[in-house]
Amino acid sequence: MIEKHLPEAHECMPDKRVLFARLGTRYTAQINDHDFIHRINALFLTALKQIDPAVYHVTIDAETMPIEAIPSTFGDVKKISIFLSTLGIRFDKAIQQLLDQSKTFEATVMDAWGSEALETLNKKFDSFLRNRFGKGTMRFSPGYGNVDIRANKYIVKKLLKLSEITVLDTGVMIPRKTTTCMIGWYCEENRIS
Amino acid sequence: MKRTEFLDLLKERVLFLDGAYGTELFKRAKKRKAIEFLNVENPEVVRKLQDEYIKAGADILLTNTFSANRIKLRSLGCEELLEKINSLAVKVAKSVCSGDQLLFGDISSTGIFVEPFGEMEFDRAHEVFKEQAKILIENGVDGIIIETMSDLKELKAAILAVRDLTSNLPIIAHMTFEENGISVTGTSVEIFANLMNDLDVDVVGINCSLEPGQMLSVFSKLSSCCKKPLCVEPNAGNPILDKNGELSYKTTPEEFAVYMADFVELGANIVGGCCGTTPEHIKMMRDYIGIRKPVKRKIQTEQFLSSRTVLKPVEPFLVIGERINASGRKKLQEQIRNKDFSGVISLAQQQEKEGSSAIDVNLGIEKLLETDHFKRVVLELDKRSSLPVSFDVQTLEFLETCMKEYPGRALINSAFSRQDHLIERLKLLKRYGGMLIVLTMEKDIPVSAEERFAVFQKAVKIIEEFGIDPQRIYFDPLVLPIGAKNDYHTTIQTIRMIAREGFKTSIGLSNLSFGMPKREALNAAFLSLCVEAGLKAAILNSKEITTTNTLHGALMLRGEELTKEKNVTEDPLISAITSGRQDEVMRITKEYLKEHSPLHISQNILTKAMEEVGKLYSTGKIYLPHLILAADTVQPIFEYLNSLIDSAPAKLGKVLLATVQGDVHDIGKKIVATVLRSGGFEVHDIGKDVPAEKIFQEVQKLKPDIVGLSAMMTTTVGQVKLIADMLKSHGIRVMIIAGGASMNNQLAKSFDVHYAKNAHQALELCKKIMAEIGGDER
Repeated sequence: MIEKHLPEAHECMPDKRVLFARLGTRYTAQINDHDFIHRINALFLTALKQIDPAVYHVTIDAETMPIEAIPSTFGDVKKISIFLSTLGIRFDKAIQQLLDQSKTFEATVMDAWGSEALETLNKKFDSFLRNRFGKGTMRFSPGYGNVDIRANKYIVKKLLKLSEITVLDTGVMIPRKTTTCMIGWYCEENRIS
Repeated sequence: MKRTEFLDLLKERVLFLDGAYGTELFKRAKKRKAIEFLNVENPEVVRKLQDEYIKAGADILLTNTFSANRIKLRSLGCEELLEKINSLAVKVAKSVCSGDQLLFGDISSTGIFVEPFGEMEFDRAHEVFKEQAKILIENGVDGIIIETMSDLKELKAAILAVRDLTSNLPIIAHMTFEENGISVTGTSVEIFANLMNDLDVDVVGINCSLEPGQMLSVFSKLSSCCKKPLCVEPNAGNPILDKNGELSYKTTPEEFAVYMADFVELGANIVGGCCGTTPEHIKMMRDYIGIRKPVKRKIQTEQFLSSRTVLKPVEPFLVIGERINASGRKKLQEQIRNKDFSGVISLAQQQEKEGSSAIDVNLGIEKLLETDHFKRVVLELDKRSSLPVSFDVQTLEFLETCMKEYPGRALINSAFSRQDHLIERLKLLKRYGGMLIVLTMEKDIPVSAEERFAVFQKAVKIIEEFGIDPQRIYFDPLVLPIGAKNDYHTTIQTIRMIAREGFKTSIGLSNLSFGMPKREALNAAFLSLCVEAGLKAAILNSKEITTTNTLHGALMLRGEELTKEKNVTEDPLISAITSGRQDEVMRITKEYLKEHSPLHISQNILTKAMEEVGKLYSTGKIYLPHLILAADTVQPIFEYLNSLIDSAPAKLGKVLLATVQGDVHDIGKKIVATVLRSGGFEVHDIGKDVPAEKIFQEVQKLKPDIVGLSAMMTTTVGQVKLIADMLKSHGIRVMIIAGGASMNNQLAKSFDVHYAKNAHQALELCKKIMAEIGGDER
């Protein structure tokens, strides 16, 4: 059964050390540049208001998945959880609006923020699943290893059956700040409901 | 918890402190007076809030005792509840602590400035804080936090009071600053940090007054110069009036958390919230920051001396003015004996102008003086001179009085190297902070440089064993009069040997030329040789131009330069006013009287000078103590000029001042009254904790042009609206100006009143209002 989880926006707040790293600098190096910090913080808080985070997830028997959609590193996992996280379409529009106004700096920061916010969300959901299912593989996303990014189409449309997410033929998803992830579970079947 | 365990914990991870009590309990219990009464009347509401803070993830909980000192409780008419309020506060807080949290007893200001800017003696403040801390400690708190102090001297009294009760419990010491990093009493965050580096506190921090974004730059300064672990508690913004007529704070939990991460990155070891923060703010901060190891900070290692308002680096060279020395000066001795310190003040101010970085104070005649002489001289210097002081005081009891009363980082001049003498002065250094000059002699003067160096080595050992950083010490290689056939090379050789070991040296320069002709030339030549050998400080006559020029030259050859600060103003009248030299202001006034009428001087010269003083204050060139001093100084001059005029000139307008009901803060209002009077207004101050009805009656009786209302607490700002509405509903047309820590422009607008941030703004606003009223009605 496909489940939907709607986290609070603040659950996606990215660690600023990571955000600064994504922006190509170090938090420590910038912390005494207070004007810069104020600008980043203002954008951080603006970004936070522009997201509608959601996670859709399902856990299925590994054998029911097409072989090309299963990462080779998953080995003999028994079950696989597949989840899609998104920050929603408003966030894309907010970045586009900034770009239309030639506010490239702001758009860049927002974009970096979105990527790290999504990763923050994924980490938290990853941890939630591990608490539920016990020992598992590393989290994996299509586009890495042997799984083609175009597997997103199968995950979104066939498996999760989500109409609110568009998957282009290239595997790229809209809203832009959307990811699909998989975690394989080993032998702790008693923990899997 | 023992201090060592607490400090170890601080090294492991960033700790979370709880949030606001005042604003939150007021909201929940609708308490109009001190929320500390709730410990007795409704402990459940306090317990519930503290439980929520723990659930939000607070590691450190504070007792609900912020204002529970005898002086504050007395002003609220319930000092008999002192013991009960404080002991119940600990009991209530302990009932919700699981054992994972630490409980800190919360102490704050008495609401009265310590002398010289207020009426309370340092010892009285010490006694009041000791009394409250004793109850908290006896009831089992894990430590004490001293918060929201705006007067460094009051903070010092509180720290010493707690330390006199316990050497085992940790102390967190906080001050509150404006956005420019300066407290309302003129102390910068750097001066605060430098003194706290010396005092026996475990954690240093700032809280209140500012929202997180405003506090960032202030905390950044603290982080760069404070050697102790750091704590920070910003407000959740300024209070605003919401749709329901309730006060609320604009900083959301998310914004709070995002900024608190910046404080952690700047090196904060403990983060929490002050006014307006709620359990939601603390939870959001805790969830966002998570478990973090504290960031390692880059801390400046330079030494500074400071007064209350001026911080002076001791590098590259410390010039200590020598001329406040009563030995052999009968007139000065007589003045000092009569507790007339005008001569001392004048010499201090002259030496500051000449470029001294510190002033040596030697009252001489110690056998003829009492403790009070030393206390008074420190108070006068604090009030009128901004340079750091070197206390050349021989009697230990007098020296301790000076160190206790001094609100800065002073220099002790001096200690002998022999153990008993040195230890006594090191104890003062440990208790009160500061630096020390140690003579390279025990009882008799060693003849050779090698012997003096050996004494130096022995002294270093004693200093290190006592736990004092030797970088806080100057070693005096001893300068002896060449007129008595002493070889000056011995001194130079000793300087060289000590400098080679990485320690600082200081000399009393003028001893060299004692009894000789052409003293200035001799002093200058010798100083140059000493600088070349590595000398770092000298007590000298800064009036000697040859000497000071030679010093500049010698330092330039060493690739260093003395920074001489520009005088705040070149105008002699303004300079005399801001430095409190009333005699000089009177002298200048009398000069003007030869050519101008008293009315002209009053309205065109003195008033203009005071306007300039106001500008200096608003541009941060002088601080609140100077502004108060200027107003105090000029007021009798105005009165003198008025006495020369047949009919006294009309006042600019009539102002009624009051602190609103439920609020016992008086200082701000009194400062405003002083500044308004000096600005030409007739002021009626009807006191503090004044009910709206009483203010209404006084307005009807006195018919003022302007009503000034002070409300310091977020819990009492609502009274301003009540009074404004009351006056309006009775058709009384009077301008209202509101001020105080919890007031802001937005809030004032929503109350339909004017807002003045400080006394100077109040004066400007009153003038503007009177100009407008004059146009309309007069």
